[in-house]
Amino acid sequence: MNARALTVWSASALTITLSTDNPVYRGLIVVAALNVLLALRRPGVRLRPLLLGLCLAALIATAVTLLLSHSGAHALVILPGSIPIVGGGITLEALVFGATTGLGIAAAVLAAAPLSLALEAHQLVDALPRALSRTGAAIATAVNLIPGVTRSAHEIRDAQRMRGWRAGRVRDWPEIAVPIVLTAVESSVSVAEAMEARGYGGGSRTHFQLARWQMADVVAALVAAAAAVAFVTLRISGAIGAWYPFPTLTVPPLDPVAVACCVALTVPALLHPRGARGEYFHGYG
Amino acid sequence: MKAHLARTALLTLVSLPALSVIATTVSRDAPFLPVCASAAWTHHVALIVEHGDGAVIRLCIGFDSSSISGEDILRASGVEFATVNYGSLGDAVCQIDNEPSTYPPGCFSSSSPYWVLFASRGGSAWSAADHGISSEQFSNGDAEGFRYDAQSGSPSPPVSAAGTCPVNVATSAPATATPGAAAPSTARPVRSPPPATTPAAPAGATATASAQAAVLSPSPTATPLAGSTQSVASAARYSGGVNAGLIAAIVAAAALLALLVVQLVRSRRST
Repeated sequence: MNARALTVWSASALTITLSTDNPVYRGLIVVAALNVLLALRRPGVRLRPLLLGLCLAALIATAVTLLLSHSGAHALVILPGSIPIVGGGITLEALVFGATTGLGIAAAVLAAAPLSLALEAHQLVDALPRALSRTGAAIATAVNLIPGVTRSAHEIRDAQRMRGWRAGRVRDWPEIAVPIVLTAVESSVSVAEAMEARGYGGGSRTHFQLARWQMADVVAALVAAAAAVAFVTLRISGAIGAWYPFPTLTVPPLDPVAVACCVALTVPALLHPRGARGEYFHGYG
Repeated sequence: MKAHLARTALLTLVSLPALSVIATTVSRDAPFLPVCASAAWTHHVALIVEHGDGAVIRLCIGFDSSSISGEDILRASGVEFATVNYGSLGDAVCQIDNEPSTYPPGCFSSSSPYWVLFASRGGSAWSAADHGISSEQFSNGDAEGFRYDAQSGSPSPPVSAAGTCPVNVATSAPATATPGAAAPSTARPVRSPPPATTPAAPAGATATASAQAAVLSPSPTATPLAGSTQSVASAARYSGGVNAGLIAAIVAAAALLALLVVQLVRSRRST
């Protein structure tokens, strides 16, 4: 899928996610985003680590809300008030609100996940507007250095341990930090020289492959953008209001048009079914 | 058995006209003679609740102690309300008379409208309260006011409390028995219409209500919690109606999950 079309989809999904408190809409976005992710992910990309991380984040959000929010009419357990902060009622409403928060986190992350799991870094840089291309390239390069710096930090720490270094007082840490910084600077200079040797900053950039919009990309981007606009309009107009489980749990109000907006986010998965083309750079050339 | 049924029917027939006469009297006299005017309470405070749409609830609450907290006034009024505890500041009002229908755990968000608490001491002008309703104390002749206001600029006070409690009541005069005293204790406050064409006049906007300040029992259905209270009216308020949105959501969720399963099966087969 075209990187810019996917960016439009991602921004639309994120917009809808952030403009609603309704767990049903958030749940629909999660499932829609999972569909898109499964259809568009790069070969060899595993989703399990991401999903495990999301489950963990959702569980933490639920637990924190459950323990800290003592509002709600239906108490599941009442902890002694002598326990600081968490003492008080543990309510059904707080549990639902925590789960809703967790769903929101999952939906937001999954809305942005295709940008890293379906696209290569260079595709994202290519998708940037001309004015931001150099800044984007610099930022992407800097971000790409992070794994290298982490790797060198581990190597330096192991090397210092072999020389008898032990992590103890704060003043011992410069023995690790200084070599790490020097190595990072050295790596940066090497990368800069390599980029310069390849013509970075020497003039307007040329492309081996140009990203082209196919009909499916146009449709996917337009549908996603229209869904986001419609959803936000409904939200602003008050057709879909804010929903909270407090003071008493109620069934969230649902609007068919808003539901349709969430479902519309699945369009990229339908237009770009996995394996249908067997090619992940079909938008280029 | 038949005699019992006949007696019941006769009693019903006799009592219906009597009840309608009482109801008519209360309804007609209410704007000028609040129910508590004839109740045997030593002290009285006025309660004004102004909704976001301009609808106003006016009640006169009687009590015997030297002072009464703002929360007890609301509880005695029978008007639905919910609060969240803000520690040393006291309880903040999150919901009155089911407005707003739901709210975040902290009572209100950074941009949402909220219930502003005002106090009027001895007939003076409204002033915004510094504390929550559980910490604000009211004495005879005071008034407690709430206005559902947007978080922009300084909050506007609610309509005047003048006339809500008659002067002779507000000055602790012993109440005399009148036909109004026979008002049933379950009478619900009546919301006055929003002042679309005319400003909310005290007489026209007054509602009837029973003031039961001496009976401050917690709600039988709401679970009393340290940080949260809720009155009877909104407890177990589940809107379980099936609507088009719910059906659409169920169908959409089923379709999306089916698509997900198909993709997972395909993905496993391809690997």
